[in-house]
Formats: sequence, structure tokens, C-alpha cells
Amino acid sequence: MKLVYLIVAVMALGASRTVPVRAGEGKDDLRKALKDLDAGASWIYDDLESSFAVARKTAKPLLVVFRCVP
Amino acid sequence: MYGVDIGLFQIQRELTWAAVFLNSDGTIYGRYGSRGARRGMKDNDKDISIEGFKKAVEGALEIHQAYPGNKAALIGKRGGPGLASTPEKLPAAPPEQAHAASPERHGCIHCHMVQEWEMVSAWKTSRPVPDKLLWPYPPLDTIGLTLDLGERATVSKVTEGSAAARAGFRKGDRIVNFEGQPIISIADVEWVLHQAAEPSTLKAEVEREGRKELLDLPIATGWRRGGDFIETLSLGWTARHLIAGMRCREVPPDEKPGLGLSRDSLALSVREVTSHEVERRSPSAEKAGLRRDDVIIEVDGLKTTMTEAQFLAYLIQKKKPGQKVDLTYLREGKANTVQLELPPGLSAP
Repeated sequence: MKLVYLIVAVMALGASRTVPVRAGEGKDDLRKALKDLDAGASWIYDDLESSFAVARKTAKPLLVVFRCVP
Repeated sequence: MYGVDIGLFQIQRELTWAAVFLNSDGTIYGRYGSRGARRGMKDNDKDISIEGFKKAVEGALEIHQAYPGNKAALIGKRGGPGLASTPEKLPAAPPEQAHAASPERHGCIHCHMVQEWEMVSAWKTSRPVPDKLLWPYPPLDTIGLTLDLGERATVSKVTEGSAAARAGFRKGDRIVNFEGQPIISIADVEWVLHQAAEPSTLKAEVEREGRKELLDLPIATGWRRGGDFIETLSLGWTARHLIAGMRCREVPPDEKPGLGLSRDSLALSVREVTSHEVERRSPSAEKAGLRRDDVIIEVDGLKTTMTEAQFLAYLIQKKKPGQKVDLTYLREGKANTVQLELPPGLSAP
């Protein structure tokens, strides 16, 4: 089967009630809690608009992942 | 989920990991991630598998390669418009400032919150809350099917006497098409069932020993109620602590005669009463004077056996915010009657 790349987009759902991230801290703190700091290297992270734009431009399908912090 | 199009991304929301495959024009190819036959909030690592996900990806790529020639078959993979375009616009969503300011939330909207707010939004209207919002995506074993987590949608077990058994499903069947939709995952099967009218007959195409078989799956009215919504973080918690203000346990039939009740009597033992000191929780049971170990034996004149889920469903589907429910309960052998006043408005946590 011909390999077709997927455009991937990750949406983090947010911290659970037990993750000790204080109000006012930014998305980097959430990514740290998700252990996702390096995810941007191969994922379009938390940016659906860009994901759809790249998918339209390249005619590739999207894989959108929703995650909840454990 | 803040700002996410929940009309486009309709998924099982009691998951820690879920995926949607789609075209950039918004056509859904498939979904991945399901609760399977899991009950409660443990073992959520059994919802997904690398092998099953890989096969779902392969299936999505096959669909993409055939697109747009297969577009008509994919129409049913998108649901109808929801109660709002994004979660924060749902009527039951708390004020944005209050939500964002919460140190526990730091501005995030969890998937399960969307499910809570959708149900509560419907409860606050004059229309009845449909079963679909109270029992969303019931586990497949509700109709007697268990599917292999490591495959796309392969039957690993069929419960004797179940709807699936009557339809002719067998172990090893690979479900390839369901109501005209190509199936790439367990989540896709659940999606078709979640959208099914009641009653109805769903058409399934399975591969069995190299042949294609067509099966008719009967869906009865009320089939969803075989699932147990109270074992969910969102709906169960909301029903118990935001609406009823208590958690109950059905008294086992063998223990009812000891209370002077028949085995088919209604008997719900109160295990926990929500404290008014906990912000935004329902004080209903506490205000009514209910205490742990009280046994509810009558609800608005109803006296036959009722599970906790049925009791909470009654409050949500037969009552509205601010309405009262007549309860009779036993305490130290004596019957007492109170009115449970449901909260007039809800602000989700």
C-alpha cells in the first residue's frame, strides 16, 4: 500500500483536577504536564486552523488527537 | 476543548485519548477511541491499543485514497448540529471568567465537561432530556457484542440471547460496513449505534470466512438504558452531586426483607450526602434532611425496585430545575416523608 502521510494535529484537552498547575500559567506548563514539549517537532500542536490549511494545501487527510492529562 | 467545533468533533467524551480522521473539507473518515466494555473509571488503558489504532490509521488512509468517490457513504459519519457550536457557548457552561480563574482549571475545558454541559443545558430547557444525552455511546456489550481491541471491528464474543445474537453475529466476524458507513474501528461501530433511531433495524455487513454476510440488528426502544451512565466521571458525577446532592446504593434483594420490604420494593440506601459547603454542589438532599444510611423506599409514589441510575434518570428526565420530588425514607425503622427540591439553576464546576 502506498504510504500516505497524515497531517496530524494534537489538541490537549487540559489538565485534570489533580494536576498542580496554577492559574495564570501558560500553555508551556500544560505541555510540560502532558510531557509534550517535543511534540511540535512532528505534530501541529493545538492549532486546528493551521492543520486544516496544511491539509488543504497538500491534499492529505487529518488525524486529530484529543488528549486529557492523566 | 475551548473554541473547538463540537458539531464537527462529536466523539465519546469519557476518554483520555481519542482521535478523529477527516478530510480538510470536514468529511469524517472515522474515529478511534472507545470505552469498550469498561465499567467505571478504572482500566482506561484498556480503551485503546497500538495495534488497533494502527489498523484504524490504515483504514482511514484507504478511505482517503478512494475519496471523493466514496463521499456519499461518509455522510452519516457527521452528526447533526449540537446545542452550541463550541463548548463555552453551551447554555450550562459557567461564566468564562469564573471558569478561567479557577486554579484547578487554568482556563481548560475538558472533554467530559462538554458532555456534562450538554446534558445540563438540555435539562434546563422545557424539553425532556433525551436518552442520547444521558446514555451517550453505550458500551457494545449492551447489545451483546464484544470487539477485539487489536483489530478494526472484529467480534470476539457474542452474548447468548442478546440483540447481536439474534442478528446472527458470530465470533470472528469482521464488521466492514454498518448502515452504509465503512467501519475502521470499534468507535465507528459505537458511532452508528449512538445515532440509531429507536426502534430501528441496522444493516451490518460482515466478512466471515472469506465471504460477505448481511445481518439485520434490531434496536429496541430504550436499548441504551442497559448501559450505566452513573459510572462516568461526567454524567454520573453531575447527576449525583449537582442535581440529587447525594450518592445511593440499591439495597440487595436479600437484604430488603430485613427492612420489612419485599424483594421487589424500591430501596435505595443513601451512602453520601453532598455538603452545602462545597461550592456549586447541590444542597438538595442535605436541605431535605437526608442522612447516610437512610433508605429511600418511595419516589413520587413509585415503590417498585429502582437502581440508583434509574432514580437519577427519573430526576433528570421527569423533573426540571427547581421542581420537587416526594420521597419516603426509612430511618431506624421509621418511615418519614420529605420533599427533595432540585437546584433551580446549575453552574458546572
